[in-house]
Amino acid sequence: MAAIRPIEGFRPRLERTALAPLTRTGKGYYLLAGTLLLIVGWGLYAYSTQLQQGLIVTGMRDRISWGLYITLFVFFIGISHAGTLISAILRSTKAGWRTPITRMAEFITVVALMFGALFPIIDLGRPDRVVNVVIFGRWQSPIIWDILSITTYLTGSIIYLYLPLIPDFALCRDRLGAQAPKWRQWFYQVASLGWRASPGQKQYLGIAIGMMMVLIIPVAVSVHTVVSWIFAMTLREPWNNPMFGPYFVAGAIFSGIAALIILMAALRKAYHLEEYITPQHFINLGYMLAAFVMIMGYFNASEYVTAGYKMAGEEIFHFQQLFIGPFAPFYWFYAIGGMVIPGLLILLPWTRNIWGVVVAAALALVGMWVERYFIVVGGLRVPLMPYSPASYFPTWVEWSIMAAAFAGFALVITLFVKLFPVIAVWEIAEHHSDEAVKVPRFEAAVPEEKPTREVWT
Amino acid sequence: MRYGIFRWGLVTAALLALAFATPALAAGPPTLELQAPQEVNLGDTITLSAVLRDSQGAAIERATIILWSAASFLGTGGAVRLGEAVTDAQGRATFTYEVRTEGSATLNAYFPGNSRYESAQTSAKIAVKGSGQLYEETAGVQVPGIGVWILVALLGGVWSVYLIVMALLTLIARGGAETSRIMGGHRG
Repeated sequence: MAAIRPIEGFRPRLERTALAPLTRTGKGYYLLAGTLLLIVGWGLYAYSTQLQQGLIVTGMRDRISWGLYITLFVFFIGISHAGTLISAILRSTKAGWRTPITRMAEFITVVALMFGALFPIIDLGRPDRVVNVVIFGRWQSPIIWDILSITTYLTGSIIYLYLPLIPDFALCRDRLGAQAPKWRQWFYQVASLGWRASPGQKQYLGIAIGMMMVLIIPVAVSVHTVVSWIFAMTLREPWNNPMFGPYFVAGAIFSGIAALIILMAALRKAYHLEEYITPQHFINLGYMLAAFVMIMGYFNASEYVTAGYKMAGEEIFHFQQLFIGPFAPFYWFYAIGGMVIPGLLILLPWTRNIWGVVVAAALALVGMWVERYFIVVGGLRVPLMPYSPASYFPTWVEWSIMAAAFAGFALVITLFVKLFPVIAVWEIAEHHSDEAVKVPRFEAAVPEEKPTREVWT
Repeated sequence: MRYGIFRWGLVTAALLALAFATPALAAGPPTLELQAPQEVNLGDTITLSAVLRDSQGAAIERATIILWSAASFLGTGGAVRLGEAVTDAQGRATFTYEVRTEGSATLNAYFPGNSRYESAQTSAKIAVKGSGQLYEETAGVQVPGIGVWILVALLGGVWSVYLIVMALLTLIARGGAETSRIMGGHRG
């Protein structure tokens, strides 16, 4: 006779699911972490080669002096906008469906910013001279604005990630107990700030989250605007575009949503989060992705139609290299593979499902990387004087460092997954109880099993 | 009639001879003198005169004089043409030059020569006093009252909010300690 399994309430089930990755580690995890570590190690070797021999080991030269590294800088800063959009905007608009995905979005923001900020330093032949930017920097320079805005955004994003984590750290402190190693017990004790869910604590936390969610949106917008100004304020014809600010911000949010969809799909599959991250989450984010396809398409059309109509000066060269010249494969992949196909995958009802949205997101993400590549390299390739155009192709050192950056990004997320819940337990529980009050459904009428001590919500 | 043709033939021949005749070079090489202040301040705009005379000391009029100096950039050296002027009735060509190199500068005047005179060249050394940044930014829009303070104010505003949030975190921590104390008291 089969044993009768007691019906588990929503909250205990949520806790169990959310805390499972913190207590159990399978072989697959070690295999993944090991592989990522190997790639990071190879990238470090490539970087040590660059440090020893200088930038001559890269494909960059005097005329095309920015390449893969600056492309990756713009790309990573772009996907860091995931946290801002999903978390701050959806939180401020009280979109309840956001609760299971905000943590991942905030997470992407912090990790992407950390990696993005590394690339201007990697791009320097002498990284020790980065201090000169601080010592001799001039406030009129967009480089200084960039450093200030990125450090401000990184600090804000860390705070914004941490605040909603406090009740979850308290949950880890109270629920994991001896299951966690000593250092983690100490960490949860310190990081939870003695959270007891008292009315005063809840009020202070609510105020702090409210302040940060309002503040982080303009800070994030300023970051990518300033990143775009590094290009737009340089005397290069293809970058001479007053729309670069909003264009870059839209592109950043677009790639941020795509990155979030991919991470959501991976963690949902790996940690069995199907109950909380539903197909509707993918479809909602898919709609946002489709909206940004249209915004990006509008910006592109506006840029190319106005410049192409005049075809002044170096625009002729740039348009030729972009549409039929050496950058044509990149451009057309971006336009068709990175915009049209993802848009169709989401808008057509037959492909509007988890797989369709994930494929659309992957294509959009690759497309945005490609777009950043031809903006950076294509802009520098336009000759400033009557000489034959230069060429650039990344070397193994640059490819290796790029691979290491992506592996490092995945590795940090893989490691952090072991430190705190990937879904905001207290927010999901709060939203669930709010919904139960609003819509008196059958399941809500059944009294739920409550934790013995209400210390974390 | 015959005489008429002969006469016209002579005139034509004389004109052709005049047209193709090589004028005789002057007896000796001309002299070129560059007059420049010996000591100037960095950033000054100075006036230089190059005086061209023939071997007899007579001024040579309507001759082109080139002012140049030697320069090097990124390992490539060469003569940089600073300007050119035409001599007046006194054989004087006048140039204005902004001194942008500290230390000393050697300026050269060059007469490339013409059908009557051979080429000539001379130079003058000037000592330049002072140092400092000569570049003045002129690009961009100058809005009165807008300056670095805007950047400081913006950043100050954002970081002030961060500080307020930090203060709220200490209140949360204090609230937690207080709750623990009360709970401990109740248990006791």
